[in-house]
Amino acid sequence: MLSVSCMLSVALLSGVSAQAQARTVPAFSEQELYPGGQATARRVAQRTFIHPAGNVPTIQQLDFWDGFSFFRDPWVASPAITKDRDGLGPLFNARSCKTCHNDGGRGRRAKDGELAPPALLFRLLKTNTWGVDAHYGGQLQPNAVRLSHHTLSKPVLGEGNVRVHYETIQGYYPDGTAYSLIKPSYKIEQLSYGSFEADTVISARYTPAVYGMGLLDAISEQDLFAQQDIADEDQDGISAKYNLVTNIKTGQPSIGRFGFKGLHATLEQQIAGAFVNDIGITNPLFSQETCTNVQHACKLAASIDPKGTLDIPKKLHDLTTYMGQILAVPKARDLSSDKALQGRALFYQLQCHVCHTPSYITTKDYPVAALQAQKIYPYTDLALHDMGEGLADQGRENLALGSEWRTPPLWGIGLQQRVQGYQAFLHDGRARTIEEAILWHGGEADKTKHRFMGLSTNERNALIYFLKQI
Amino acid sequence: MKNIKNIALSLVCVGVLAACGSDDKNTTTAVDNTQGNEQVEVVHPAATFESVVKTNADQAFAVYSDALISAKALQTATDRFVADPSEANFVAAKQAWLNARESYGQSEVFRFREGPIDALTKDEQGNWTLVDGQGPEGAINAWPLAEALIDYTQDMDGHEMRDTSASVYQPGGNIIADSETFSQITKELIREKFELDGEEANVTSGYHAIEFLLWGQDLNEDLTYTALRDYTAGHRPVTDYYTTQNIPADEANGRTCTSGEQGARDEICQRRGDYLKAAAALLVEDLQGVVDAWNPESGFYYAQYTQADNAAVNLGAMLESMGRLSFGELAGERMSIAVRTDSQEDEHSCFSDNTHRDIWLNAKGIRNTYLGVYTRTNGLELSGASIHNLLITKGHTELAEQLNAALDKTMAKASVIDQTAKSGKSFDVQIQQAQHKEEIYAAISALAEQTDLIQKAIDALGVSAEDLKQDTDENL
Repeated sequence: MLSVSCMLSVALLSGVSAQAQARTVPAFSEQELYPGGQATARRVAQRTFIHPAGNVPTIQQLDFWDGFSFFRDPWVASPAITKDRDGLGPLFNARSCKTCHNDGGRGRRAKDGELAPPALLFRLLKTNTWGVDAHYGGQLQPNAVRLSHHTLSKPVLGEGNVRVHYETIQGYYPDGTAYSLIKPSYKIEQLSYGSFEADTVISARYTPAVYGMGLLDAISEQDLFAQQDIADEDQDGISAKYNLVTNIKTGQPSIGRFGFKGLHATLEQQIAGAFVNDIGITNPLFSQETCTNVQHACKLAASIDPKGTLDIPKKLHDLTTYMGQILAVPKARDLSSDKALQGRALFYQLQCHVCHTPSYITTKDYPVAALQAQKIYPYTDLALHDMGEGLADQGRENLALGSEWRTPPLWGIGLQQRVQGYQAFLHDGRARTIEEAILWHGGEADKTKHRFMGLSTNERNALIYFLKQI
Repeated sequence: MKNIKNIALSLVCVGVLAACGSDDKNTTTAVDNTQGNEQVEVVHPAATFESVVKTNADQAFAVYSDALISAKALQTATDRFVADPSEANFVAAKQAWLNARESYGQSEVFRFREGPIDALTKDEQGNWTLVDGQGPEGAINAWPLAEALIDYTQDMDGHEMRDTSASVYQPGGNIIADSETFSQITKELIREKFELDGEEANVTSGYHAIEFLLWGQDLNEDLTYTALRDYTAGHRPVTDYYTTQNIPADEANGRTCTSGEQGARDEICQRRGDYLKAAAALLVEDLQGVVDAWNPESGFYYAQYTQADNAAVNLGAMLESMGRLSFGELAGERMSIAVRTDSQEDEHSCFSDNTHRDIWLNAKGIRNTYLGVYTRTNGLELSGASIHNLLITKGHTELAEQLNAALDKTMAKASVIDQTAKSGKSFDVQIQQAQHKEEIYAAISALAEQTDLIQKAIDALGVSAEDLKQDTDENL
C-alpha cells in the first residue's frame, strides 16, 4: 500500500518536472515585492487594509481620508439633521461600506445555520437571459428604513433573508492525504413581497477586499482584450472571455472588470452601484432608488427627497471614488525566501499564471497620476472562465453563465487572517483556506487543480506559502 | 509660576504617580532645586526606548486621571444643576463640561494603538482584557451624536424631528420622550442603548451627549437652523430642566418645564435630568476603567506597556499614534471634512462651539508625547525622557530639531483657530469664511508636514511595525 502510493506520487512528480522543463519560470524580479508598483502601501498592513497609495504626497492624502469618512460612517435615513450623511435606503443591505468591507477587507462570512450577514448578499438573476426579478429587483435587500416623515403611514419592509447551511465534503489527495471542503446551500426566508418570478435564481456574493482596485481600473483595455481566447484557439484548455457591459458614463460597451462576474466597467461605476444597491444612496451614476413597481411604500419613501437631489452629490462621490482608487495594495512579505520561490516556480509550472496573469503596466492615461504607468502584480486576467459545476449557480449576468466567474486578483490574500482575524475565500466565502479555494477549482481549471493535487505535501505547502506572500 | 514647576516635579514623584522609582532617576532629573530660582531645567542624559515608553505610560496615567477628576467634577456640577436648575448652576455645569474637555482632548494621542481606550473590555469571566475596537472610546467620545434619538431637535426645514433618521427605533420619537419603551433612564439603559439596533450612528452617550443636554442643538440665535450660521452655540433654556420639585425660588416669570420654546410635561424635564445625570455617571465609570488600566501600581496595562521587551513595539506605537491623530484624524476628519463640506455635522463639539479647543488640545497632546511633558490640570508639570531626547541620543539631532519645529508650527497655526474662536467666531463660522478657511488649511498643512517627519522618526529609530516583525511566520 505504502509503496504503491509512493510510486504514484513519484510518477506524478516526474510528470510535473518534465512539463516544468518545457515551461520557463520567469526570473524573480525585486519589483514583485511591490505589487502595486510605487503605489504600494508604505507599510505592511497590520490591522487594516486602509492605507493610501505610497506615492501620494501626504497633503494630497487628505482627500483619501475625507473620502474614507464616506466609506466608514454609517448612513442614516432622510430627512435628518445630518445633511451630508442621510439618504439610507429605503431598502438596503448595509448602512456603510465598512459594514461589509471591514478594514478594507472581507466582512464576516456566514456560519452554519445563520442568516446571511451583510457581507454575503444575493443577486437575483434569470436562468437564460440577463434580467432581474420584477418584484425584488437585482438583489435581495434584507433591511428597510423605518420612516417617521409626517406624510408616510406605511412602513417599508425589508425584502427577506437567507439562511446558510454548509455540507461537508471529504476528499483525498493522490498521496492519501485527506481534506474536507464545505459547500453552502441557501434557504430563502420571510419574503415580504410574494415569491420570486419563476425563472429567478439567487447568486451568492461574498464581499471582496477593496484595496488595489484603482490599479485594476488602470489596466488598459487592450492589454486585457489581448488575452481573450473565447474559442480556445491556442488549445491550452483555457478560454478567456470578457464580460461586455455598458459603461454608464460613456454609454459605450466596455470590459466588465469589477464584480465576481464582471458587472461593472469602471471602479467609479462599481462604487456607485454598491452605493445605490447595497446602501440605497443615489448618486451621479445611479440616480434612482431601487424600489420595484410592487414596492409602493419604498417608492413613496423614495419620493420624500425633492426631485433631482442625490443622496451623495458628485463632489463627495468623487472623493469616495478617489479613496477607492488609491486604496493601496500591501507590500509582498517573505517573497524572496527559498520556500516562496519554490512555490513561485510551481505557480508557473502548474500553469496557474494562465488565468492569474501575474503582471501589467498600467496605462499612462489613467486620471489618477499616482496610478499611471505602474508595474503591478495583481495575478488576474479579469476574464470569465468556466469554473465547473461545484462553484456554479444557475444565473446569468450579461455574458457570464452560471458556471463562469471572473478571475479574482490574488495580491494580499495571505494577509486576511492577520488583518481581519479570520479568512474566507472565493465568491461566496466557502473556502476556509487558500488550499480549499484551489481545491474548488473545476471546469477549465480542473487540470491545473489536479496538477496541484499531484504535488508532494512540501510542494503544495510551498505553493500556498508563495500565495500568502504575494 | 516657574517655581511651581519645580515643586511640581517632586510632588509628582512623591504622591500623584507613586511610580517614579529609582530606575528612572538617571533619566529624569530636575536639575535646579534652589528655592526662588525661576529656572527649572530638565535634562535626560540617557534617553532609552524603555525610559521614553515609561514616561509615556506615566503621562497616560496622568492625563486620564485628569480626565477622570474633571469628569467627576462635571458629574457633581450636573447633579447639582438637575437638583436646582438655577442659571448659576446651569453656567457652572457648562463650564465643568468645558473644563473636562481640556484633559480629555490631550489624551486622544493615546488612541490608535490597541490600548485601553480602544480595546479595554471584560471577558466572559468578567476580567479586564484588550480586544481592539471593544474599548470605551466610542461610548466616551463618539460623534456625530444621534441627538434626535435622545431629545427634541429640529431639522433644517424647521420641522420638529419626531424620530431620527438615525434610528431604527421608532415609537415615541426619542428616549427622553418615550417613557413607555424606556421607563427608567439609567446608566445601564444608556450603556445598553448605545449604538441602538446595531446602528453605529446611534451614539447616545459620552461627552457629546452631555454637551447636547446642556447646550442643545446649535441653532441660530433666532432658533432657526439655516445654511448660513450665526456665531452662537446651542440655546437650550434652563427651563428644560424645571420640574415641580425643583423650580428655583427666584423664578420670577412663573415658568415651568419646557422642551425648547414649547411647554412640556413635567415628566419630560424629569427624564431629561435623569438622562443628564446618568450620562455623566457613565462617563465617569468608563474613564475609571481606563485610568485603572494605566495605574502604575496596579494597572495591568501599565505593567505590560512598560515591560522592557515591549519597549520598541510601544515606542513605534507612540509614534504611529502621533501620526494617525495628526493626519487621518485631526487634519482629515476633524478639520478638512468640515471645511470641505461646510458641515456643522462634521464639527467635533458642535453644540457648545468648543471645536477650536478640541483641535488645539489634540495637537497639544501630540506634542506632549513627543516632548515627554504634560501639564496637569492642577498646574503640576510632568516631564521625563522623551522621543526628542532619544532622537538626539541616537544621533538624529537634525531630525529632532525639525520635528520639534514642525510641532511648534502646528501649535502656532492651531492657536490662530483657537484665538479666532475666542474672539467670537466659532469654528463652524470659520469654515464659512475665506480668510479663516485659509487659516484652517494652514493648520492642516502643518499637520501634514509633522506627519512626514514623524514617519521619518519611525524609520530613523527602526521601530516601524514592519521592522519589528519578521514575516517568515508559517501561519501568515
